[in-house]
Amino acid sequence: MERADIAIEIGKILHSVFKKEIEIHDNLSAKDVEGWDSLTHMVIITKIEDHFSVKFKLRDLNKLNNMGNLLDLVKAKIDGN
Amino acid sequence: MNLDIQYRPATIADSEFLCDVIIAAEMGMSDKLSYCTLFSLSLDGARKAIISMLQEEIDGCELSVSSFTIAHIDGQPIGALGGWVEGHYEGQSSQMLKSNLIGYTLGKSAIEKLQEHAQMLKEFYIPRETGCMQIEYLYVKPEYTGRRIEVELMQQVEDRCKAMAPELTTGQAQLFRNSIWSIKLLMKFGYSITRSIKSTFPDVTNYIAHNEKVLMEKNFTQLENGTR
Repeated sequence: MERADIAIEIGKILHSVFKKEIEIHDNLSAKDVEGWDSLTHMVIITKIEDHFSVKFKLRDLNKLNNMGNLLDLVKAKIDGN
Repeated sequence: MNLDIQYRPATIADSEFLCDVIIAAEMGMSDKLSYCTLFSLSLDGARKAIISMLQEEIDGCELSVSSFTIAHIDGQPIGALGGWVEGHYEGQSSQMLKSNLIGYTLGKSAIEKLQEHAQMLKEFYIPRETGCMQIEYLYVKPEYTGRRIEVELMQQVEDRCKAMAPELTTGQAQLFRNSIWSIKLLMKFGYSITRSIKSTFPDVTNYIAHNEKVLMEKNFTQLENGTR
């Protein structure tokens, strides 16, 4: 799956969580989205893991600073890296 | 009787004691442990989960072994206090780090359980300010209280945080209003209550220790300049 396609899928997940359109770009961070608090973050990560059938490592999750990191992480997981 | 009380940073070998510290401090004056009530865990299940999270050795939050300073006698821990500089590790907020730990350790079913109480928890949410010292989980074994161990732990934690971030200007602590003893101690240390949130959920005390949470803050610069 291409990175751009992953971004589209994550956009759909964020839409389902926040009930509004979130523009996906590499610099997007939790601080930019109203309601993206620690509890919502857990829900988003779980939905992404389920959707892409991947399981993140804790240390990978803790390095996520923005959407660009998340897209790279999901792509690496899907590609088996 | 004079006791030879020493202080040192906690290590992973202290995980079980730190778990006791977290449980005692979380429960405060109540019989409610949020790890049990919010995630439907037994006390034993909560203990295992807390120890697992501590043993992940993630730095920068209240479930980080490295956040704690231990008071001990001949190597035996008798008290502890957690404290860290918010966002010090790769800019990650402690609340996100804790979320990742909980989600990773307890899994999807726990997150679903937590979601059932989302509105109640969000109402109590006070963000932790980046660059500020955060204090959590003070505990001294009852037989050793009254020996100024709490005061020394506070000083040790403050010194450790200042060594980590010399530009540190503010200390913050989030407590339940019924933690009278801790609030008094923090006041002695120059903290004052700057914010208070009272829950509008009548059954909140079925899940957490109290229905009111306070933010206490201390400005180190003002105190050093004597302008407080």
